[in-house]
Amino acid sequence: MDKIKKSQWSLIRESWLSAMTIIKSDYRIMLPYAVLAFLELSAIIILFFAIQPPLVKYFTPIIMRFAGRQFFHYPYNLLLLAKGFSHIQVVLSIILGTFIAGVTINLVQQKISSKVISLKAALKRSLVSYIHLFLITLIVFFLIKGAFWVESKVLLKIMMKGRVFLNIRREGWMLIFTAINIITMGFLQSLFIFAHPVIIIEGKNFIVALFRNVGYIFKNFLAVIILVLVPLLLYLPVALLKTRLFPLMENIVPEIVFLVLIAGICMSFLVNVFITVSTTKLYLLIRGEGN
Amino acid sequence: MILCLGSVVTLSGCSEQYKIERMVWQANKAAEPIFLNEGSVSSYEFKTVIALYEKIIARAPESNHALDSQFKIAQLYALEKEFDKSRAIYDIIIESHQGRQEINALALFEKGQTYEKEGNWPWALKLFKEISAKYEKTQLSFSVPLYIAHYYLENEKVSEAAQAYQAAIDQYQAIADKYPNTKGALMAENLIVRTYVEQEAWDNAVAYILGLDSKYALSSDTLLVLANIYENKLSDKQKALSIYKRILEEYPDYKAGEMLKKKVVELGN
Repeated sequence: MDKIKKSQWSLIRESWLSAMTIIKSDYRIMLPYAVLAFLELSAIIILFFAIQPPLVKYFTPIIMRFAGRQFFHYPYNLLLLAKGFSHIQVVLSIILGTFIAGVTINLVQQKISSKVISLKAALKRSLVSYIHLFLITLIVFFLIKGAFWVESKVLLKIMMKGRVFLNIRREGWMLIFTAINIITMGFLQSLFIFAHPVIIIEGKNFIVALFRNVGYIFKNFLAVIILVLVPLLLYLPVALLKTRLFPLMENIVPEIVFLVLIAGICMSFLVNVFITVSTTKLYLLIRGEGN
Repeated sequence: MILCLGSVVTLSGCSEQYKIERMVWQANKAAEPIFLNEGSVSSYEFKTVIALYEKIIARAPESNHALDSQFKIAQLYALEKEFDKSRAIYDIIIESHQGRQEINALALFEKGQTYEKEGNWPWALKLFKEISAKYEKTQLSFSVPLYIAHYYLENEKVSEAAQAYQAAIDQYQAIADKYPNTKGALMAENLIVRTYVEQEAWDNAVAYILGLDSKYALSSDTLLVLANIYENKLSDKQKALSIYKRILEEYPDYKAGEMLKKKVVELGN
C-alpha cells in the first residue's frame, strides 16, 4: 500500500515540476489558451458596446425577455454584461476550448518527445480529432450541468428554510455552494481527464478513449484529482467574487465588474494551461513515455 | 498591455447615455448619507453633492435626469434647512415644466412640505389645497387630503383631523361624481372607504361599500375589507362568512384563496 501511495505522490510531484519546466522552457505552449483568453476579453468589449446605444436597440427583445427594463440602465447593465459573458464563456470553452486543449496536449507531447514543437502540426492534429474531443467535452458538460442542477435544488431548499439555517446565513450558503460547484466541476472533469490525451496522442476515437480513460483513472485517481482540483481551487476566489457582484458594485464602484471578469479570464487561462500540461505529463508518465 | 488597451477602448466607447447615468449613480451614492442622516454632514460633502447634481443638469438639461437632479437639490437644501433656496428651485421646476401636471403637483407638494418643516402650517396647507384645485387629475391630488388629515392626527388636533377627513370625503365624492365610471372615480371611492376605516367609522365604511355594491361589481380586495370589518370590528361572523364565501365564488383564482377557505371553515364551526 505504501509503495502505491508513494508512487502516486511522486507522480504528482513529477507532473507538477515538469509542467512548470515545460511552460518555462517554451512559452508557445501557452499560446493556444492565450488566444482563448484574448477572445474572451474581446467578448467583454463587444458586450459592453452591445448594451449601450445605438446597438442596444437590437438586443432589446432579448434583454426584456430574459432580464427586464432596469437592465437597460447603469449600473444594472453591467450585471447584464457579466451574465451575458458567463454564457459566452461557456460556449467558447466548449467549442473552442476543446480544440485548444487538443492543440496544447499535442504541443506538450512534442516538447517531451522531441524537444521541438510545431504549432502547425498541433493545430492539424487537433482539427483532425476535433469531433471526438468535442463529444467528450459534451459528455462532461452535461454531467456538470446535471450536477449543478441538483445542487441548485438543494440550495433552493436551504434558502426556503429562512434567512439563517444551521447557524449559517443565506449569503454564507451561496458561497459554500459556489465552492461545492467548483469542486464538483473539478471532480467530474477528473473522471474524463485522460480521454483527450488518448484521442490526441494514441489517435483513438472517443468511445475507445472513454474506456481507456477509465482504466488509467482507476489506477491513478489520487494523482488526477490532486492535479485537477488544486489548481482549480485557485479559481475559487474569483468564483466567489462573481456571486457577490452586486454588493461589490454598490460598495466599491460598478466598474469593478470589469476587474472581476478580467481576473476570471486570467485565472482561467493559468488554471487551464497548468491542468492541461500537468495531466498530459501525468498521462505520458503512466504510459512510460514521459521521461 | 492588452488589459490597458481593452480598458481604454471600452471606456472611451461609452455612449453619452452611459456617461450621464454613471454621473447620476455617483451623485445619488454621494447623496445617500445626507438623505439617510437627514442632513448632518459637513458643508464640504454637501457642496460636493450639489455640484454633482448641477453637473448633470448642465450636461443634459432637457433630460429626465436633469429634472430628478433639480428635485434632489431642492430636497437637499430642505434637509439642510435652507428652505428659501429649496423653494426657489421648486419655483424654477414649476415654471419650466408648465403643462406637466404630475411634475408641477409634486414640486408644489414638496414646496408645501418645506413650509411644514419650517413650522408654517398655514402656508403649507394653502399650497396643498392648491394641488387639489389646480392639478385635480394627478395621483398626488388624491393623496393630499389624507396627508392633511394625518398631519392633524400626528399633532393631536382631533377636531381638525375630523374636519380634514370630512373634507377628504367631500373631495373624493366630488371627483367620483364628476368622472363617473373611470379609474379616477374608482380610486376616489376606494379612498372614501379608507377614510372611514382610518377614522374607525365601521358602520359608515360598511354602508358606503354596500352602496357601491348596488352600483357595480366590487373587487375582491374591497370585499375582503368588508369581510374583515364584519369579522374583526363589528363581530358579525355570519356576515363575514357570507362575504368570504362570495369572494371564493366570484373570484375562484383569488391569490389568498387557501387562506379564505380556512377562514370559511373556521367561521362555519
